[in-house]
Amino acid sequence: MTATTPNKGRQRLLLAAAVLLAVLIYKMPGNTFWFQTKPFSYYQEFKAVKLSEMTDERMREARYGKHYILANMLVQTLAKDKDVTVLLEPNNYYRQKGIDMTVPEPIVFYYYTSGRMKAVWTNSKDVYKAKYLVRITPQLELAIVPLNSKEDIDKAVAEYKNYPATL
Amino acid sequence: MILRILVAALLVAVHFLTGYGVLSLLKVKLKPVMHGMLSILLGVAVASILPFLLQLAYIPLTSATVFGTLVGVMLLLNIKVLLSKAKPTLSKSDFSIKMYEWPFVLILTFLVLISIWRCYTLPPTPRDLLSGPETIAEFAVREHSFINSVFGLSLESTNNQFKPPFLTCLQLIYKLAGFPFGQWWLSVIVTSFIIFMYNALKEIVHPILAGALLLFFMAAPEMYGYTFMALFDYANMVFLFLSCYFLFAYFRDKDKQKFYLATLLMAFAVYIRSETLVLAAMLVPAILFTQWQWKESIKQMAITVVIFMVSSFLLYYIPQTFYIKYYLPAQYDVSGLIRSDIFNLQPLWQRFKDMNSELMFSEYGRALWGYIIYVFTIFFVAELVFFKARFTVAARNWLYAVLVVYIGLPVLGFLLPLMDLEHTTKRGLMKILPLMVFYLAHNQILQKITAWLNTFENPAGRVPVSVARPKAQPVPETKKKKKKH
Repeated sequence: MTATTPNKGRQRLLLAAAVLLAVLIYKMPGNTFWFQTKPFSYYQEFKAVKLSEMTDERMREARYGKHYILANMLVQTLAKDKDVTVLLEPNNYYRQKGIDMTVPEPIVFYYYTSGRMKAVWTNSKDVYKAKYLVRITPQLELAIVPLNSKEDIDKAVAEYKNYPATL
Repeated sequence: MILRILVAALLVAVHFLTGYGVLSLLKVKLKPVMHGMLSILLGVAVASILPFLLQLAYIPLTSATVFGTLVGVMLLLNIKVLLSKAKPTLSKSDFSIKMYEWPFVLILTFLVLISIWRCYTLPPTPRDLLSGPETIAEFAVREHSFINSVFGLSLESTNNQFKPPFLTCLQLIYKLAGFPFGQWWLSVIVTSFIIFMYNALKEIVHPILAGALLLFFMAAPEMYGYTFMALFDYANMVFLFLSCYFLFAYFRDKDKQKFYLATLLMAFAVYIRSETLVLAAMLVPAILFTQWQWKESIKQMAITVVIFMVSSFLLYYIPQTFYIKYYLPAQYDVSGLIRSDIFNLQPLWQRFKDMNSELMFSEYGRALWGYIIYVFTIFFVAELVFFKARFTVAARNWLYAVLVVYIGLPVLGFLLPLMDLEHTTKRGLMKILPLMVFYLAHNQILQKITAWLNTFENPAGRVPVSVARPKAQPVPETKKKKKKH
């Protein structure tokens, strides 16, 4: 098999055909929409972002959103306490009460706080390790209620018994 | 930033050399670009096992032990290369791109670069990653063990801590190397795979068609998302595809080294997603049929199947049963996940129907996978009609692989009810896309267009080197007799 001397004229025609085919694929309705809303949009983001502003922490806040901010707000608020476990309200409770909030599952909460704080759900086997209950009002105000005894925890769990703890 | 780029380059070099050593041991040679890309992919796969092996030996997972092992294994795998006097030769033509390839090459490069950028800058987000492998890897960096404080948490909401250690290992390596979000290894896989695919397609169809097929493949929105969101499915798709690629090369060339490579690649695919073991088993009839055509003995056929399945089974059993049972403090009853009423087939038909009507042939399906499934269907039907279903052997092989995934996913969803339609089956469908692309490349209509384009480009009738079909390498008769497994 031998390599041939390229026929430049014909290769230019094939180049035109390739451009045409690429444009045709791009112009397919779903593809145009996808290119514009995803890769081109990502490219605009890339151009707009300044490297100096793009710290790891900012990227985490932007990507993880409310979950991440809530978890780290709790760490800051309870900074004086050591080995804290907080009891989180069930996501079903927020859904049914129309509260625009969800809480992360305990393992993700631990990850978000870099291991500085643990969380339990109302169905967790470790629920009695909780020292505080984290309440969020419909106005998205945060309340941290101390849980001083087993009875306090039982009372808190009973309050949410109609709201299964799920994602 | 510059330091991170240097570290990344160093890691890619280690992956490349590791994979190069594996290919040298297996005596598999490809065109230089494909050889290089496959080396990197194999290197990443080997790296994804090493921290797990350290954990099995209770060796602390520190920078010294992890990188020491990576480099040590790289050197061990290359002893033969280092002792050999033969040096790899490269020529300019190995990397040449023709003028008419540029439009698609530029678009694909743009898509890959954007993906790399997002993979590098964004923290990992998929829930299946955060609620298991990512958190375990993050705390392994601090506590030097995969069996760490994560297992002391309330884990009622997740079973992702029991997922195969593929992601955990790679996240650990890249975090130890200074990438806080880890997942940059995914870009290494994606880039190598796309380059490999493009070059493999160029061996079958005209480069313009290769570019077009690859663009349809890349423009599958759901899959593109997983080129920068680390999870199991993209890597699983890559290794399953590569295993099929070399298995069919074995069918074509009767070169057992390619069979061994296919076996290794399938084992990696199973290591990444354990249920791939079922798909591997579904490929066995193709192996048996081919060997029956070759008039191999029953014993020989049995040996081939055992080699193919045992390696996959080991990479299923060790991380998914042995490790969980004997190492992890929490237990996981896999048998409890299997459907008990397996003779009630109604859920199987329902899953099959839902997969087709919801995930493949619907507006939602198009939003997930772009047009590639429609392109496949149109050309498949056209070949059925215009060529009276006389498929080439290669096309038949790829169609068989498509069928394995097409049937295999609903079967898996039926056997393991936790594999839901909306998440697991949906992501599993990614696996079918490269298989469809390679069937399309062997479709006789596209082959006729390829022949026409080649004639147009070279009226003298000589086939340019870049689109030359790979030559079959029949094993000499005398060698064949000796070369039993």
